[in-house]
Amino acid sequence: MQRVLQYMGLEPERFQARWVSGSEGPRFAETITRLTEDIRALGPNRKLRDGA
Amino acid sequence: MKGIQEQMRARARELLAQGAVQMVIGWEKGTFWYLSPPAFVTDPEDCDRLVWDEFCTNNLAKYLLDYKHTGDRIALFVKGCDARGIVRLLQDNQIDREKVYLIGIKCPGVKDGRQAAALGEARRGEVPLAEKCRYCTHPEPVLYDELLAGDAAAREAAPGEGRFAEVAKVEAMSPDERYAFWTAAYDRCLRCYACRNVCPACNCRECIFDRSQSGWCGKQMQRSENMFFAITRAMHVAGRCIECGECERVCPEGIPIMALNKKIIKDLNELFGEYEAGVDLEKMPPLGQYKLDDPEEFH
Repeated sequence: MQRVLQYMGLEPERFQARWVSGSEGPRFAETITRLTEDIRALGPNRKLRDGA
Repeated sequence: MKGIQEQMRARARELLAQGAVQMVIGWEKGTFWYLSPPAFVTDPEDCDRLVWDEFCTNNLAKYLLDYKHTGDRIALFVKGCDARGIVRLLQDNQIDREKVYLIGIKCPGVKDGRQAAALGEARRGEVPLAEKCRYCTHPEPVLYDELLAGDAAAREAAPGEGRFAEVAKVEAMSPDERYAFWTAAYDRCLRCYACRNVCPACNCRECIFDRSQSGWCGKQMQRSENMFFAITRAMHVAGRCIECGECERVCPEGIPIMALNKKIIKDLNELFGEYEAGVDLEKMPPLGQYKLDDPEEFH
């Protein structure tokens, strides 16, 4: 999926998928924190916004 | 190619007259010399409608779905790509193998109807091969009950290189160029869903794009919705696209859909090992099965 997004000129980091089990609370938190940081670094998405 | 056409008509007539099948699906001549639309023949007297020429492009496999709830046994002429479409539908348990009778044709490659229309009938001999045929890996059907002896020499499988040339071209662009390329293409999308309707991998009974209030994708024609449609459809046929190129052929806007499908095929080959959809009935598509050593990357 990330490869497809990249291929279409979108920022692949905006889509991330990870396997996290229901018993892996800390791992879930860590994954989300990292994702949030990644997105924040990218800034708001302007692509595919209508009118853009 | 006359030889094949006569054999087609003769076999169709025999099968219908014997009652071995209730319908024969082939191609016929319609209004235009550069198109051979599908023909559905149920009467042995009607078999002379069937034709075989360089414009028998349509992949006939998909039409079987229209008859899957009837008890009819249907005979179908299959080129290489049609046969792969059949394998695809069989793997998805969409059709019953006993209910189809496949008559194989060694395909010499079909011609591009659109370019033929532009060139005019006087220059019929100059019409180039259809895009899908240029990189065809299986001109001969992979599955059939009988094979028509071809007088026209069947083509060799095309060399592998060049198959992903379009993909490489897009990959070589910068991210902004790629974005401009795809948005320009899909801004033209009418959402007519012809690509989906013709696709032998798109066989869901209810398609998510037919749901008006799915919450994921609306019916508006706008950039984000169109791109959502593009990406979703590409992912839905991932690992199952047989590269028959029908989606691109029927697209009224000429969107390079195969450049997207082939990108996914290329990635799957890299991640999961070489795989060609619809070639081997026993070999499951990479995304249709689970293995412990599947790569993490492809979600």
